[in-house]
Amino acid sequence: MSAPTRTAFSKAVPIRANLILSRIPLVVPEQTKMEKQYHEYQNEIERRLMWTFPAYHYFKKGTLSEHKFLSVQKKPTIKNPDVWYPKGVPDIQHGRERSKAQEVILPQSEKGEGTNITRPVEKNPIITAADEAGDISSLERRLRNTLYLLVKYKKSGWDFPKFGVKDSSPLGVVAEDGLRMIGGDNISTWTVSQKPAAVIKSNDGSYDFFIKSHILAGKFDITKDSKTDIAEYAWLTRKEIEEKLSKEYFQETQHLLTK
Amino acid sequence: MLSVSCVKSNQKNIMTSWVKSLNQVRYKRTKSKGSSSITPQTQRIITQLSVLSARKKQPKMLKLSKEDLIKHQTIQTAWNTYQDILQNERQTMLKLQYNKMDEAMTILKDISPKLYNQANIDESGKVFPMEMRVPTDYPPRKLWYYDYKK
Amino acid sequence: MVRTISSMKTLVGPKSAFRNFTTTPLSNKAACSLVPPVHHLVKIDKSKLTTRFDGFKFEKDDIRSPAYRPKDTRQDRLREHYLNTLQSDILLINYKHNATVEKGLKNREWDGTSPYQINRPMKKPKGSKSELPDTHPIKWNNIPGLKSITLNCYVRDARENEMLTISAALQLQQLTGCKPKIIYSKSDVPNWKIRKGHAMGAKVTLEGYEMSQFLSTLSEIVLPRIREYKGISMSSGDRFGGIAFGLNEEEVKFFPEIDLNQDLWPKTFGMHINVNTTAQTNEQARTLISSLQIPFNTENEQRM
Repeated sequence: MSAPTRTAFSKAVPIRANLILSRIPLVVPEQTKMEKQYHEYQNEIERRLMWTFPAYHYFKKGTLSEHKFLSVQKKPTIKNPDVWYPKGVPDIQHGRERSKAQEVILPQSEKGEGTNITRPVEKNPIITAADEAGDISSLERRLRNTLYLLVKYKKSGWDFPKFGVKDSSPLGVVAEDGLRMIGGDNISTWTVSQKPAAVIKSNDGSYDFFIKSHILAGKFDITKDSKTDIAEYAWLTRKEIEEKLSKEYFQETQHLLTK
Repeated sequence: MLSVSCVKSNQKNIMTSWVKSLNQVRYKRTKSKGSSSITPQTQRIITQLSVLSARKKQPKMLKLSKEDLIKHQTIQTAWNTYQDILQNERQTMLKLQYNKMDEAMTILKDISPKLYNQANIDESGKVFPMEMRVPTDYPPRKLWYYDYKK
Repeated sequence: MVRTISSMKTLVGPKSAFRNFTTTPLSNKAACSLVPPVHHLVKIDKSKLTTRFDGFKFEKDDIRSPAYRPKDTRQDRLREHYLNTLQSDILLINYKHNATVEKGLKNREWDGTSPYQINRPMKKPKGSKSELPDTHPIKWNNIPGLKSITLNCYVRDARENEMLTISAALQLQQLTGCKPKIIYSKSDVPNWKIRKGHAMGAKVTLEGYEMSQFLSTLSEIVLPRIREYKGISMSSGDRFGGIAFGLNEEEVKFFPEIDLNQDLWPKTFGMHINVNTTAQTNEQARTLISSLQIPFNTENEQRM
């Protein structure tokens, strides 16, 4: 008798598949002050303990490139028996002062000559135009953080995109299809797993299962049909999500969001 | 030695030949020093060996004063403690995630066995997409590929 | 003889039969102890006892040791990506509800039907030469991660010209920044003209930042430049979390260290790359390694 009652019960329970769609960071996380200082300290020790650079391997004797390289290098102080050295007697081997880190200087090419190796690297700015404009619907913001897709439902406010499960197709499929329903087809995503990462039971007896997915390319843009339901969408970091969601709801979902 | 043998050679011929065979006489060098017998290939190997070897390339050992040593050890302990804290944080977070997914699957099994069976498939061996890039130190020129068409 | 044993079995059972099997009195045996004395087993490192070598007694991670090398010299972006993003994804992918420990193949007990089975070593497992480890379900504390990478450069031509191993070692040093070791042939194989103790190549094991650096170079510079590279074979793997693949001598030339100094490298050497992970199966290791942007040859899988 128990089996049929259970199936009847399961039909009655509304199940929703929520999608946690994330854009992984494009740039490494910022180091704390301590990390920066420690790395600097260790790096300096490493340089001090490094073997002498074998220039004779890279530059053939008597060539122009060898001359160019050697002419740029700083000459160490040479030991002279008649001189008193307050900071220790020089100990030079292969043109390197052994008690110090070796500084290898690469000859910079003149303008126009421009070999690719010695050209200085142009670093792109980490704070982008979208950051400056405060455009929260852009995927090009907050490059150091993981961004998550949040949509603003006209009825209930900011939330993760959620879709009702009707004909018992898998949760992951429901979530991915639903995303394309509200956000258009031109979006490339990768579902991490078909298994839900979390569940929340609402007071009305319905269940919200969370499916994790990553956006790889393309754009989320609210389609015409869903504009009646959804007011806007945003790509937000964990901190910003904390401000948008209610405290209890964030507590339930915060373990899914990386810092 | 050489002069002695010369003197002796004047006196006795038989003696000379015997002494000469023991004592080699060095004359002035006519070939250049060694290099003529070394081929460029061998020379390349010699250079490669010297690049590999530590000879004449090692710096002096670090010699820290007592105070510097204590400073270094303090820094190291602080760093290790910091790493332990981070590791613990990560572990508690992962444990929470594990418990939550376990809870979700248990509930799903109760309320919808069909969905549960569809979810609890063996996904081991799943391959990550190549588009999921490892973050870089600085952003690329083109930040995001928006023009994806299905 | 057989009859007596079987009768003993029926009378007192196999265990008590074992006890009373020999009836020779102890006094007839030669009086020698088979228990090795303990004091011969304790190794004494005399260099640790003297005060002459105090400077060499420190651990390698102590700054006073001559072998000291600093470890965390810069930010390791591959490791941070793994910790921040990949770890929880890999946990979710490998999670299975109500999973239990899968026992590996183990040695088998003898059934005790013959007295000659007393003190025999256990039977080998069926279908394997040795015992296999258990497979534990993936939880928060055993998520597959990278352990080390071993580059193994075996030079076949070195049997005629041992000098080639030096070039191979230098190539590994240039690619990794770590000091390689020369490898020697272990046995005589007359058919392959290999003699025991002959230098045959070089290898190097990478850990920590060097490992991440090598993997990044491989996945971001070298592999994309190989023409029509299909990816690592899906059948690669040693069943215990190691995955190996190879680069031939032409593909090695795409490493920037060699590409930018081509006149120094008239001859390059192919190598095997063994990625050792804490994964317990081939599949788990594949998921992990593919997450680090290293392609796998998935074409055949889709056809099947």
